[in-house]
Amino acid sequence: METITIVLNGKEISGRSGMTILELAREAGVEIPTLCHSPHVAPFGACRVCLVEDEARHALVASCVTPIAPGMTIRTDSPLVLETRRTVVELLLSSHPEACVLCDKGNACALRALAADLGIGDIDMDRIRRFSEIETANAFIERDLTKCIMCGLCVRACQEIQVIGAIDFAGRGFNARPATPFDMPLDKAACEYCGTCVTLCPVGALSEKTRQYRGTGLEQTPTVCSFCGSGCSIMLQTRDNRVMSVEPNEENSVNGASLCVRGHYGHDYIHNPERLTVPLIKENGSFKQASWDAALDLIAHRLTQIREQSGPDSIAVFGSFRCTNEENYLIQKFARAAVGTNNVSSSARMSTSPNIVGLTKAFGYPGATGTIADIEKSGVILCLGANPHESHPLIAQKIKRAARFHGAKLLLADPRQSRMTPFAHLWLRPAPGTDIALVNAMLRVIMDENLYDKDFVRERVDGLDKLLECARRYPPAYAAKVTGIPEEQILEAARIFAGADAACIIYGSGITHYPNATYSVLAIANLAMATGNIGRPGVGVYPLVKENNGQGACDMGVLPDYLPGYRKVSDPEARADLEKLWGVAPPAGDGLTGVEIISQAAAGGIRAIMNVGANPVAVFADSTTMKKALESLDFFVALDIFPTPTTNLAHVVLPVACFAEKDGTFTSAERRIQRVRKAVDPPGQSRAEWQVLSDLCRRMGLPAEYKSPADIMAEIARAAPIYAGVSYARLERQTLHWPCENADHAGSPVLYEHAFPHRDRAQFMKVEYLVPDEETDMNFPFSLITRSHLYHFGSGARTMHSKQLKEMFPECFLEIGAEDAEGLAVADGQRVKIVSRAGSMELPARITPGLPRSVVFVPVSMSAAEVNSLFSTQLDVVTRTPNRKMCAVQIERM
Amino acid sequence: MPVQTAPEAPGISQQALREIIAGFPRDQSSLIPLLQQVQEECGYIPRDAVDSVAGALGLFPSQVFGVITFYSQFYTAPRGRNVVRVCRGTACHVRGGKKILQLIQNELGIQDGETTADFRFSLETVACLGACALSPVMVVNHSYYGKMNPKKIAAVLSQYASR
Ligand code: SF4
Ligand code: SF4
Ligand code: SF4
Ligand code: FES
Ligand code: FES
Repeated sequence: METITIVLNGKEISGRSGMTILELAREAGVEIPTLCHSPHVAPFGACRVCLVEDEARHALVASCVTPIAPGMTIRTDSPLVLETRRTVVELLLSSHPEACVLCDKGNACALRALAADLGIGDIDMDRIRRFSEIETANAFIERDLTKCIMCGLCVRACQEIQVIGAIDFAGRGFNARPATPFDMPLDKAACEYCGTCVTLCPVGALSEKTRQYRGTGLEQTPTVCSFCGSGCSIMLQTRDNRVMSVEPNEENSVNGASLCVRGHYGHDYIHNPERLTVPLIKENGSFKQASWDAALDLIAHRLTQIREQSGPDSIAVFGSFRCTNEENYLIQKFARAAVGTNNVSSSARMSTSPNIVGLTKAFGYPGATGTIADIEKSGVILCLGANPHESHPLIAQKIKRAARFHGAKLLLADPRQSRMTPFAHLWLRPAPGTDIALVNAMLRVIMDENLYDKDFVRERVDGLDKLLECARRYPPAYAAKVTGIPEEQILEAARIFAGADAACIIYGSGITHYPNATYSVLAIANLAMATGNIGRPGVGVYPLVKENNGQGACDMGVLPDYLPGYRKVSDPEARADLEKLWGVAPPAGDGLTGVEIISQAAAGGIRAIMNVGANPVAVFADSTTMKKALESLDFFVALDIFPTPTTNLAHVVLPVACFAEKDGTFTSAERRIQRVRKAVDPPGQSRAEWQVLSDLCRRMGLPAEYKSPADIMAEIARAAPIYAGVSYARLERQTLHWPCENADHAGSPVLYEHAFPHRDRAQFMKVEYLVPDEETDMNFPFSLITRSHLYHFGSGARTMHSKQLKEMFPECFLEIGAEDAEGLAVADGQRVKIVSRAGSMELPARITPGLPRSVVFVPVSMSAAEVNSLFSTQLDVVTRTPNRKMCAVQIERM
Repeated sequence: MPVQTAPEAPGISQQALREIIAGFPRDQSSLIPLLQQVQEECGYIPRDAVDSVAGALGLFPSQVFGVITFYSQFYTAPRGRNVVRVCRGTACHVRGGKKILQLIQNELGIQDGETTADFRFSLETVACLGACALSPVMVVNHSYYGKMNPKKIAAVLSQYASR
C-alpha cells in the first residue's frame, strides 16, 4: 500500500493512501470535532464542523471526506478554521430549541459539547423554529425532530449497518427530515427498535424512552449480551448499583455500533422486582426462606444420602447456557467428581448435539467453521432452517449486508415469508422438515454436472463413495416431490452454489430441532466439502447456536458423553488426564441425556436432580410429562434468577446472579471466548453460581478453592485442550476463538485452513432422509412450527420480565395464513384452541401474509411451557435429542 | 400540500403495478421513470406502489419515499383525475390571470393545491406555463387553453366533467 506524507499542524506525518484527513489525524492523536461522522458508516460530509485548512491551497476542506494527498499542509486549529467552525455551530444552534435542560442526551450531546468548547453561549442570530411533534408512540424510542441537525447518522445506521431502512431523508430544503415512508410512526414502519440510530444520533433528537431526564450512567462495564449466540459486546452503564442503559461496545466487538432490540432494550430484566433474592426450602408444600448455610447443608446432606442409598447414577445435574463457562465447567465437575456421575446435560445440548456429532464426524470440531464478520465475504449464502432475522439479528445483518452491498447471492430456504425474503436471490420454500432432501439433491446435481471441487476433494476429503451413494438416491425430481420446491429451482440453487468463489451455509433450529437433525447436519457438511467451501474466510458451515453461551456450555463438557473440550467420556486417556487434575477420576460410562434423565426420573431410576439455571419444564418437549417426572423426584434443587415453572417444583431454590452481576466468560456461536464482567451487585442474598457450586463441592468433600473465575479458567485451560491458551490476562486485551492451543497461539477464527484434526482429512458421511413421523392427517390437519421471535428469547423467563419487550409483545400468538383462517372462519385477533396428539393450548390468531397453506407458526418464547406441551418426545435418531420444531395440530374456534 | 381525502381514493391494482414494473429494467436508474409512470396511471403514488417499487428495485420503501418527496412533481396523496393548472406568471397576471384563478376556485369549490371530494379535479398554480402569447393561460391535464375569459372557463371545465 502506498504511503502518503502530509504536514499536519506543522509536523510531517504519513498515512496510507485512501485515508481521510480525519482518520490520519485521529491516528496521530489530533482531535477534530465531528457531528455527522462515524467510522461504522460511509462518510457524509454534511455538518462541516470538521473543516480544516489546507494551507497550500488556502482552502477549507471537510476532513471526514477529504482523502490525504501528497503535499498537503493541514491546520486543524488556524483562526480561519476556528472562526468558520464557530459560525457553523452558531447556525446549527439558531434552529435548535433551547431545551438542553430537558434533553435526555445531557452531557452526551455532541452539539452542546462543541458549543461549550468553542465558548458559544448566547447566539445573536434570529432563531428559526422547527416544528415537529415528539413521537412517543412506541415502547423504546422517542423522536423529537426539532432537535435534528440533519447529520444523517440515523439514516446511515438504519440503511448501512442494520440494512433495515425504516428511515431515509424525505422532503427538501427547510422541510427535509429523516422520515419513515409517509411519515408513519416508527411502530407502523419497518423499524425493529434496534436503537442503532439512537446510539449514533449526536444530539437529543433520538433518545431512549426509558431514560427520560434521569441522566446517564456514571460508570461503564464492558461485557457480553445475555441473549443470543451472536455474542455482541455491550457496555452496561450503571449508577448507584443499577444498570441505567445498555450501549454497544464498539471496541474489538463483533457488532460495532449496533445491537438488536433485545440486547439494547431487553436487559431491564436485571432489576425486575420479581428476581429471586433469598434461598427457599419447601416445607409441607410451601416455600420458607432459609439461610444459605441451611440450604447448602441440606443439599449436600440429601445428595450424599441418595448417593449412598442408590448410587451416584441416581443423581443428575443440569447446566445452562445462561451460566458462564466457568460455572458450566464447575457444573460438570460437580457431577463427575463430587457426585460421581456422567448424568450431566443442558438444554443447549438439545439444540447443539446434532452439531456436535455431525460436525465432529465430518470435520473434527463441533462449531462454526468461520467468523460472523466473514459472512460478508461470501459470494453465495445458503440459509436453511433458520430465521436469523429473529433468532440472531446480528447474523441477519451480516447476511443482508453481503446481499445488498457486496453482491452476494442469498439462497434462502424458508417456507415462511420473512424480512429476509426481500434479500433473497432465490427463495426456496421447502415443506417443513424436508431441507435435507434439498441439500442432497443439490449435491446430486453438483456431482452429475461435474461441478464439484475435484482438487479439494482429492487432497482433503475421504469417503467420496459415501457421497456418491447418497447423492444417487436424490434425483432433483424426487427432491422436488418431497420438498415441494420446483425442480428448476433446485437445479439453479445447486449451480449457483457450486459456481461461487466463496460460499457458506447458515442453518438454525429448523435443522437441529427435527428428528433427522444429525443427518441434516452431515448433508450440509457434505455440500460444503464437495464444493471446496471449507478453510477460508467467507466459506464454511455456520450452525446458529441459539443461546449466548450454548456453545460454551457444551465446550465445558456439560454433556453426558463428552468431557471438557469434547474429549469423549469413553476415552480412557481423557479420563486419566482429568483424574490427574481433579484428584478424582470421572466415571467411565456415558451418562443419560436430558430426555433420558427425565424419563428415568419418572421411572424411579433418577431420584435427585440438581438443576443449575435450566428451565426444563418450559423448554423440553411434552412439558406435562416433564412436570410429573420432576414432581416424583425425591430431591430437586433449582438455581435460578426468576421463579419459573421449574423452580416451583423444587425442594430447594437458590437465588443466583445474572450475567451482569458476576465475572466469567461466554463463548459465542463463532467459537469466540469473551469476558463477562460484573457491573452491579446481585440482588438480595443471591450469589453467583460459581460460588455456590464451589461451596457445594467442598461440602461434598471435593476441594474447590477458587478465589475468582480466573482461577477456574486456569483449570479449564488444563482440562480442555481447545481452551489451553486461554487466560483472563489475555482476555482482558482481546477475544479468542477456540481452538487456542497455548499461550502464544492467536486462536482460530477460521477452522481447517491447513488441516483437519483427524488424520488431517475431512470425511464425507452417509446420510439418511427420514420422514418426520409427526405427519398431519384428517384429525390433525395443520403442521405447527415453532419459531424464534425478535422480541422474546429462550424460555421467555428473562424477556417476559423485561418491561419494554413485554409491552411490545405481551402475549404468544398463532400465525395463520389468510386462506386457512378463512377456512376455519377465524378472524384476526380471535382466540383459538390448538390441539395436538400430546396436548392443547389457547391463544389468539394473527392472520399473517406469506405463510404456506396448512402450516401455522408459533413464536415459542412467549409461552414456552404451553407450546412445548404440544410436542411429543420424538428423538433424533442419532443423538437422542427431542423434536421441538414441528407437530401436527387441529385448530378450533373458541 | 393540503388534500381532501375521501374513502374511495383512487388506487392502483397489484396487477397494474406488476405490469408497469415489468416494463422497466430492475435497477435503480428506473426509479424516477417508474414513479412517473405510476403517477401517470393513478395521479399520485400510493403506499402500496412505494413498497412494490422498492421491492422490485432493491431499495427500501423509505428511500423511495425520500425521492418522491424530494421532487415536487410527485404526489403522495390522491389527486383528481384531471389536473387544472392556472398560470400566475407576469404576462398572465397583467391580463387578469388572478381573476381567472378566482373564478376557477369558485367553480370547483377548492383552493390552490386541493382536490375535489369526487377526485374529479385538482387545482394547482404555476409560475409560467411558457405560453405567454396566449395569456391568460390554463392547462387541463396536457391541453392548453389560452386567452381565457370567464365564459370559457365553464366551457373548458365542462369538457372534463364526465371524466
Ligand atoms: S431503531 Fe433501528 S430499525 Fe428503527 S429506525 Fe433506528 S436504526 Fe432503523
Ligand atoms: S435524528 Fe439525529 S441522527 Fe438523525 S439526522 Fe437528526 S441529528 Fe442526525
Ligand atoms: S444480536 Fe444477539 S447478541 Fe446481539 S444484541 Fe441481539 S440478542 Fe444480543
Ligand atoms: S463530520 Fe465532516 S462534515 Fe460532518
Ligand atoms: S406568464 Fe402565463 S404562460 Fe407565461
